[in-house]
Amino acid sequence: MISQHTYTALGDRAVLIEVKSGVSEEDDSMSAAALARKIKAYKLKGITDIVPAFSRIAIHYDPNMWVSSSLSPFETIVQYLEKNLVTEDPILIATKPQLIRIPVCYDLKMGLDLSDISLTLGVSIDDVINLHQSAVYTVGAIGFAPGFAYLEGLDPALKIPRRDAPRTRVPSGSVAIAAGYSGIYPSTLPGGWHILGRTRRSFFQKEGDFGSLLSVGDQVKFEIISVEAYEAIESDF
Amino acid sequence: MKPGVLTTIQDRGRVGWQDHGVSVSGAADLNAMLVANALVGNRPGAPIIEFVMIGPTLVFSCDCVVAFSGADFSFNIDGSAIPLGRPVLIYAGATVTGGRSLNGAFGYLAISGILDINVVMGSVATDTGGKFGGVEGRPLKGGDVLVVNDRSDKFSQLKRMRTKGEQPFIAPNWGANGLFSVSGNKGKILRFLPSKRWMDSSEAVRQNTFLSTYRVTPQSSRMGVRLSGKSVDIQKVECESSVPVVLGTIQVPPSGQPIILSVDRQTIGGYPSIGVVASVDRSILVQSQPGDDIRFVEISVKAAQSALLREHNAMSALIRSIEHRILELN
Repeated sequence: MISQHTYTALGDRAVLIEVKSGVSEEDDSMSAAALARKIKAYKLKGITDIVPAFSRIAIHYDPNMWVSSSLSPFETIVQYLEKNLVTEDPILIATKPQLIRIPVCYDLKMGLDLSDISLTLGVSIDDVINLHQSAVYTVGAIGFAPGFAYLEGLDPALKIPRRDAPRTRVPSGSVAIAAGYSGIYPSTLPGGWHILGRTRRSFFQKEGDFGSLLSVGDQVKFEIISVEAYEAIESDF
Repeated sequence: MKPGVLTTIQDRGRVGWQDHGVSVSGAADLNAMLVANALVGNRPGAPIIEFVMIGPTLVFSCDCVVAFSGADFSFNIDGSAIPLGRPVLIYAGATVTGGRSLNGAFGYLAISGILDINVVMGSVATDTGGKFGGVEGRPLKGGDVLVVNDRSDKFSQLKRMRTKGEQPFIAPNWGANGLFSVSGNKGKILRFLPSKRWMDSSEAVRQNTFLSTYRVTPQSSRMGVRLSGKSVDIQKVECESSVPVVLGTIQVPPSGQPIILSVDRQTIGGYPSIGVVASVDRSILVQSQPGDDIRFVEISVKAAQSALLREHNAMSALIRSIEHRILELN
């Protein structure tokens, strides 16, 4: 499978790469994630951030490090990327993404919007939980807040717009859906997604081993646990 | 000590963590930060104190060489105005009082030496959203004590100039010469690199925006500069997935009133964009205050980047000349 890349200037300090495989949106995301990992592996001086989001990747760079006599820094970096990236299919050489299992308690006390979702979509609460829990998701983007993952692969029957009135405080660890995605709130945040349940896993480390548990391209599987099992897990937070 | 409105520790920002959803943060007016650090003999990206709208009141418990830069917050010691853009020796026991900013949004205070702040993910920048960096991930508050290590001897001659009990501070007769200072002009022009969405928009839509003036609203913050004016009627695509954004991305939410993303921006965003403000106009963008008027003009990548390289060279030259001056003071 050969995917096509287009390069555009995202301002004067970033290149936006768009991946089009012509297969599906999720495929584009996977290709973009693999491509981002590949560029990251080059550890290029002069590239400051590599930010994949669905079918696109932003390559943030320092124009001072890409000066050449005849071309602009933007042209120089694009020429470099084209030469080095288009030659091989990134899917083939990239490291395998990891599968992460997330235990979720879908009890009504934590799944604050289960009843509302059920009413709005005309799907029973049990079916909402089963549909949400049986899918394997792919991390399409990380953003909105440190460690907040947008998960692709939500069953179309669970497609629902954001809540009309966003909450000012969504509890940390809330597992939610909106706009065709599932997501997990890594900390207590304001938010407009519909909450199905809660997990004790920590998704962002502010100390020690910094960073997000999930990376773009990772796969996620939710596993149902009881309230008792949830309570028994020592909180990561 | 009084904290001002939003006084934080900043540096160049948190580079390399955007794929974790971490904002870059850092000093809004990067040039002002670089100038202040140079004036006190610090490395360009050393931790610095940033303030917004109203400056803090600070009590110094030791002799310190400091420099103020960015917007003018009328800093003074008992009414004696401290000059902007110059190294200044302040004596132990002095109370430095800041006022309301006169000509821009952000001001900076560099202190010669190293501010003792924990580095989180490669930076000391305060991320108030993520609640990390700086002092406990929050703005400074009354009673906070900042420790400065390695107060260098670079300014020994300045310290010898001290005459007992006369002036409240000592400053040499040279400084940054007003280079990279804030203009205070209420009418601002921002050059932007157009997005494909903008290029695909009709001539009428584009002219409508070019001929309009947008006013900066009080809702502006370190997250974004919010504008009000003629609605930008670019075509909106339904249910758009989030895309990577940068500092200067001009977003158009459904209201049509543009938001220009600033230093505390998120890493991705869901609104369509008409383009990105050129990096050379970053200081003008972030220093704009509520009530200022902004107009947009297009610039090409090539022109924007050559202007940026020129600015980089001018900054390097200024820093070198300041370093030279400081050597003379030793």
